[in-house]
Amino acid sequence: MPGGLSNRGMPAIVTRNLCKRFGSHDVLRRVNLHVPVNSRFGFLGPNGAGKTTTIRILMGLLRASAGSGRMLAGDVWRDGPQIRRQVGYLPGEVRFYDGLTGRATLAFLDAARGGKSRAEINRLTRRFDLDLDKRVRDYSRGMKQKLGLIQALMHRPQLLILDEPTVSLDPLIREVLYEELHDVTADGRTVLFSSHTLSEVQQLCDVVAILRDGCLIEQEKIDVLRRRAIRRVEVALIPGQQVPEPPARLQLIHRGDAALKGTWTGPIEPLLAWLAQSPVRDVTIAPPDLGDLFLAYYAGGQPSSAAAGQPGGPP
Amino acid sequence: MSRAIIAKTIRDTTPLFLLVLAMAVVFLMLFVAAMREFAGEITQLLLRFPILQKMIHALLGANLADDASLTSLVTIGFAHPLLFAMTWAFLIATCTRVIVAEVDRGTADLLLTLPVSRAAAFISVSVVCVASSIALSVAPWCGVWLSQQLYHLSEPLHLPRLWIPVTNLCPLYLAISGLTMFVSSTVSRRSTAVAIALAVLLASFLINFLAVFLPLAKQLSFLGLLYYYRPLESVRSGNWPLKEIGALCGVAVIFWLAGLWRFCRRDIPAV
Repeated sequence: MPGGLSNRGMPAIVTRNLCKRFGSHDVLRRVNLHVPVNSRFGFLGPNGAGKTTTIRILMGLLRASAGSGRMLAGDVWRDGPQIRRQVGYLPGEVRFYDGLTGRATLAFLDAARGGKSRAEINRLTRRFDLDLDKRVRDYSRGMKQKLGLIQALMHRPQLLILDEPTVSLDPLIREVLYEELHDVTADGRTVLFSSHTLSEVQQLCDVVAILRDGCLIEQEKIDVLRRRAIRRVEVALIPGQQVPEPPARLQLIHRGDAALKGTWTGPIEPLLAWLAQSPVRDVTIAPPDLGDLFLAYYAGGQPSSAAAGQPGGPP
Repeated sequence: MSRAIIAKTIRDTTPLFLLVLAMAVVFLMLFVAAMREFAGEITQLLLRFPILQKMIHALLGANLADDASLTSLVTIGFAHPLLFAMTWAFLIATCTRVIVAEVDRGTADLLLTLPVSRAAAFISVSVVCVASSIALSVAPWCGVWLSQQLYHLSEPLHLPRLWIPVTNLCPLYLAISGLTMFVSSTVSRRSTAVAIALAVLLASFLINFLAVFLPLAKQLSFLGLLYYYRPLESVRSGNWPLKEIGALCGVAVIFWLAGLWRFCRRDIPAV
């Protein structure tokens, strides 16, 4: 590993009681993040929750007011330059030198990284379908985002930190990015990305952390969250027949002679057992929707079904 | 140091640098030509208007009327407000270019997340600023030398003596660069950095100028950078102004180190 840092057996990122204060305003409060190696880690939270601040501390752009952060076994502030050799970063609002072409921009960034990425730049340029001969000032927002992604990926970093990477990308390029991120983890590397798009987090991530008001309120494997998520249930009944009392976990929205509608959380077996005893004509059980769960976190409430989880600890 | 950042800074600043360098050389050539033509009239004017003598004294640090030789008259060019305006503008533009301008427009997020320490980035930019300062301080002498080659002068210019203001001008420019780098490391808006650096330089210029007229300004004039740049005195005497050079170098080093210290510890705000 370059720079003498070894992350063998260590999480890719770990923060201990990370705090950031701007004046009298606490932006981060004792955040304990744990990003496992070789994970696709989704970093979620409403605007102003502290996601970008956390990422900027990890990248050495901000100094933590208290606590510590380690990436790839190095201290994010003290060992910054060595760590960043192995990190690719896309800022939330990526800005480039307007007067340079895309090619010149990448050449400069590559030179500053040791100049070994030409082949990968060519490959990524083809993948993201970007014209590198235009000046950056003539790029659209989406093209700038593509350039940002290429510079983050071009040196094949061990850790990729992307702040809202899919903003301004069209659906086709978004798919290309998803494939690239899958390839990154297939190589044993790690991805952390923040996002507002819940569907893409569900699709991409294997671990999720949720930040709200500067506090880490959830950090869990997506499979575990999925088990806690709400399923929408619709049951069509044979009219006139006796229906046993539904289990308490089935929160009914509508109850009629011929139909029941509600939501279900937790293991599915009790629901199936009840359905087996009931005069069911048809049944629809939707897959667990993490969107509702995330929204409950965003809104400020701890979902009751998630109470068993211990936020802040390693998933 | 980062070679990539040095190369980028050179590439970014070269057009403006060459322009200012050429303008400084040409300005001194024109100035020598003017002095050659109007030396007699200028001496007469100085004798007739004491206020003019005082103003020139404020610029050069000595009374020109005592010895209005062509070399003395040409020395005015080394402290001319137009030369200062050009070179100061360039130094302020260059020294605010990478640190604060990158923060201001958001490109610092890319630059400072490269595997380059902040100290290395700061030193890389500083190297370019120092090299520019040295080149710009030699430019007036080159203009005078070219004039000597091109014009027929009534008396030869004392070119070796004119190296003295060059060696005094260089630390002055280094001090200005150091000051601007410090300001650049402290604030997050380029316009603010430029305004602060300009305000300090203008205050320095003004206090130095007023020192000839007001006793209070004279007492405070040691606070201004131009107090340590008095070319006429040293050109006449041939003595190197070592104390002044030392003071300016000290100011440059202190501001540079303070800027480095601050830059290595500061937060880089998101745009």
